[in-house]
Amino acid sequence: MAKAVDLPDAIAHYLFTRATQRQDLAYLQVSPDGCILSSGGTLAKYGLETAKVGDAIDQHLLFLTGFFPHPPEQAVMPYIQTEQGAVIDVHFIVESGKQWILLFDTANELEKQQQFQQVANDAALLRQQLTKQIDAARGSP
Amino acid sequence: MIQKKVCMVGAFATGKTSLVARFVKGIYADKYQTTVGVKIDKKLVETERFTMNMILWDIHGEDEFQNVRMSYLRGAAAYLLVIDGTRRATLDVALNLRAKVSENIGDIPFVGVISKCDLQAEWEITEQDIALLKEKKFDLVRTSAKTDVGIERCFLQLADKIMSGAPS
Repeated sequence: MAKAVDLPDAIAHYLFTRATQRQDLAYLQVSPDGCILSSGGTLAKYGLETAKVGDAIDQHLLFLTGFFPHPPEQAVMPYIQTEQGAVIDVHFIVESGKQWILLFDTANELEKQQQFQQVANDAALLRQQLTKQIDAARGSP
Repeated sequence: MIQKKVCMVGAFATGKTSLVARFVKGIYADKYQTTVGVKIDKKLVETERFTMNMILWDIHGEDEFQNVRMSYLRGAAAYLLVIDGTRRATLDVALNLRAKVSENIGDIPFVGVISKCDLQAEWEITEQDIALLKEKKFDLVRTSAKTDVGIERCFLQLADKIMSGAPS
């Protein structure tokens, strides 16, 4: 992992507030077998308002099925679009032997990314079609 | 009940989202809408031998701007490797992705899907390509989300592989 930048408290506080307020952070500490040990943040945003200590996390967040008992020590999974319509960046981190899962709301970013990606992929498909037509016109296979 | 994570993997615009939409909701949309990140869905698969709740991860396609993150496949029990029959290049992408999954996740079961069989007259994937894949022990299913051909079959085949503990 890259070394943390040594920031003055005021800047660290500003960045923390900005990140947590803009993206509705929720966090869960989980056991090695995927049971909730503690939680906090904007849990209701992710349908976790009824999640209790001891519950299996994949009962509440279906997309975490299969991750336990071997969760990644560190992983980021952006833009997970749930059945309920939430768009979540999921971060797995381990700190001092504790497994944490962080959830960030990234619905706004997804929209912009989707628009960009759509244009790029449409253009790539068009390019492939034109190449095919040119090859056919030239009589190549 | 058994609950398993199953991923859709392949190049962009191969029809992964349409495959899931047909399987889960029985619908088909002609307009191509690219996937960013992952779309999660679920489907109860019932057979005489077992009932399985499939948690489906429809992962964005591999393209020139974004590689498929292997972190998305963590915990997957199996995957569908989707190839667009009308675009030869998607076969090469699929073969590369299969190698990456083996390297990063392990030899989990998969089924090869050759999509868009309603457009078979326009296919660039040849019978020779298919024979070569079979030589490599690929289980292949030809599908069309548009005409609902092979959709149930590829998912059931995958469920069977998971239940039988079949290696890829």
